[in-house]
Amino acid sequence: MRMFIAFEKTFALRHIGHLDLLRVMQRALRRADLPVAYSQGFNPHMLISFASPLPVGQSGREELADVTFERQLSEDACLTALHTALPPGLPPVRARAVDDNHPKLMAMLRTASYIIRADDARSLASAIPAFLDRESIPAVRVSKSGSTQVDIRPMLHELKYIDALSAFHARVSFTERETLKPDLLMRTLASFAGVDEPDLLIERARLFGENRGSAMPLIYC
Amino acid sequence: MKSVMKDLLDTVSKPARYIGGELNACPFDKNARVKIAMCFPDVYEVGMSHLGMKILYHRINELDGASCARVFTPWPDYADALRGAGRRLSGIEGGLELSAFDAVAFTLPYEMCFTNILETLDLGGVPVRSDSRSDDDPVVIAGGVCAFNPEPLSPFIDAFAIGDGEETIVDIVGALMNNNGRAARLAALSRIDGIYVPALSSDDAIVTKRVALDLDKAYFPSTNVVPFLETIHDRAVLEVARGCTRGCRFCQAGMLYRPPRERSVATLAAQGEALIRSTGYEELSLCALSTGDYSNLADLSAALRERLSGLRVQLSLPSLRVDSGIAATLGDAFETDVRKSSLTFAPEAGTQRLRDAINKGVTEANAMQAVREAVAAGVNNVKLYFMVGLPTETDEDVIGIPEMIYRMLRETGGNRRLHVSLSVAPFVPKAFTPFQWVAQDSIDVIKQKTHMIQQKLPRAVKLHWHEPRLSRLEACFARGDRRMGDVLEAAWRGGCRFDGWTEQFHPELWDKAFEETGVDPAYYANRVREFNEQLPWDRIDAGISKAFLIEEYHRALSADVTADCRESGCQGCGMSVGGRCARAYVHSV
Repeated sequence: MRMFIAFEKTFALRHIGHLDLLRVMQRALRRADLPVAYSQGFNPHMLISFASPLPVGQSGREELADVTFERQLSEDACLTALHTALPPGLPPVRARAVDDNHPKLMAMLRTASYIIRADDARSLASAIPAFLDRESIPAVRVSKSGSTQVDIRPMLHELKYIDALSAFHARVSFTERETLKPDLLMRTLASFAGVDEPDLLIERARLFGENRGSAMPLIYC
Repeated sequence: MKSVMKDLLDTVSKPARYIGGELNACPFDKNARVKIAMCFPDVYEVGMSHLGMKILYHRINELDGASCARVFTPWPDYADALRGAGRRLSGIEGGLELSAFDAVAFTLPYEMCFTNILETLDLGGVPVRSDSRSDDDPVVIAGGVCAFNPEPLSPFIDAFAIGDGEETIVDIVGALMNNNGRAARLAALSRIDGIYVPALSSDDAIVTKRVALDLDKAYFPSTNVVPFLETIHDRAVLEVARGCTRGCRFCQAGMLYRPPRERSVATLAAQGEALIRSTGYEELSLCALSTGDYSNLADLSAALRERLSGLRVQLSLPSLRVDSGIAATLGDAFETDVRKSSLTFAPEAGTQRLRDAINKGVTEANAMQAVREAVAAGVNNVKLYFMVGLPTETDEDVIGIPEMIYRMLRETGGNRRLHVSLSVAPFVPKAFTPFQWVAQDSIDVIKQKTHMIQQKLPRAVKLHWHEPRLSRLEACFARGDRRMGDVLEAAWRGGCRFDGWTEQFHPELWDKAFEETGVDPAYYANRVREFNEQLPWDRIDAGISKAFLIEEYHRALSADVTADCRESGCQGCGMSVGGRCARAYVHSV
């Protein structure tokens, strides 16, 4: 059987990288004495995968792992065992048992929502209505191989400023073909608003799949 | 305007070095009566692999009324960021800056981390020199292998702990708990066995090293902190034995950690299982100076395998001697280097005569057989370690290194997939060894010898050689006195830190420091000492007698081998506890 496990990765733990996280999870599963399945072959490894690696420096409210077990296991038993086995900064929050042939998290992932804190948030916030009214929003994506011009408007599904949080909420495309990174979004918004590139504190709030055309939390997909 | 909401860690490399919060890390009690900052003078990945840190961290935290936080020297980018922001270095646990602890303790694993001690103290708001500290400042303590020659660090360290630390630390915590203020605390510390307090010690007082005789009764943590970052040795560590009596004459650890002591199979099996269950590690490493010398490896292997069956744990033996023959007999039970398809092997010298002179009990036949067997077993990487500049070395011995490698390649039938790499390090004479009186080769001579090796080496063999200027510096501190402390401070003030890291080593800054202080490095590194010369470490009693070291030195000159006392009876090293040869305490199973 397989289990989707949602966990938080916040505060200081936002500084650890994806490979570090993988090792921590593997060791926690071993320590929890859960019946994790291993691959066959000369160098067996644990059957565990993640919906999407989180960049170093970003925190996550609902990160998702997919673990295969050798035997049936209840969601509660899995959560309870992991609760004591994981370090304090990585609490498991939800688990969902799925069939072995259930699609992979990565394959179902469509969009991700973010809570973004930025300097000079007021001027950025006031530019949002005009920004969203545009039919296309050209942006420059910089990578190791050079910079390319992209239109980010089709990848931007929601963007608003939430006064109570003093933060932006954004939901953006997150598929293999189309991904809009939150820092590119905010950089483009800043240049549209005519303000300096802001320092950002980014939290990935949730990952979404799709159900009949609308966004659905990935863990329930 | 730049943001105030990001923290300094967002601007540095590898921020996970500084965050703590790992599994099994101990919560810090700010109200504890004794708060100790346990510092490792290098980066997190190195310090978290250090056995002494693991033992002492958990030992202190399990004592009533005491709390211990870890500190690793910040990499230059973070150190500069802290200074730039006007912030001080604090313990990983609890966020208390170093100056607010009762004691700041360092382990001293190698000489080339000494600048990091000053850097760490300064970043933490503790005055670097003992005589500049006020009564409110913490007591600065140091232990570990380099504490056996305390003189170069004595201007900066208030108290040195000599020898095994797991018992001494309990006494140290007691002295801190029962006394207030630096002056009273230093006085109390100076009365503890194995503690040397430079400011309070008379010139003729001798400090005898502490020895944890019965390792079965000695404290050993039942858990390890599990780091987020991949550390140098990212695995659970079980210390099976301490000490070694092989008697290699260049080896300081072999002399300092006598007598050899073992933990029993029953104790180790229980400790090994507890470590694995509490950490989730997939590898359990059996650690000792020479693991293959453990008297009952077969039973230990069987006991551990039974305890750990079904847990998918790999047992590993990292420090195997090639002549121990263990790889062949236990290859299936253990993850040895052989199974990892590489063989690491340290003949140290290129001719039998020189190997006999340094008492390295490896013969050409051992070496050839090991390589032949390894290659037959599928190994295609062989790493070889040699030294140049060993006492009595001639050109013939130097040329002997590439010649031996030629014979090895022939032995393996010109296997084209075999990668051989050769690491050559200049010999560094150390205190408490039979070679403590000899001169290190000058930098020019080391360069000439390396060149000789390079010219004769088969082209396919990759040569790594240690920076000779770094080795000379190491030699200066290894046998230095208090004036080397002045050089150290001048070098650190000039910008030196992390000298052991090639990209951070600035020989020109060190040259300047020697010049400024009027100290000649050759006086420490390249001078032959007379047997009757007063040595800076004479105030320390490490258990080995000077007469034995002198005798061993003479035997080296005539290339006479000295046998291991575990096989051939007492060789008279002088290591005794309560008047008995300490071998009597070796645990029998």
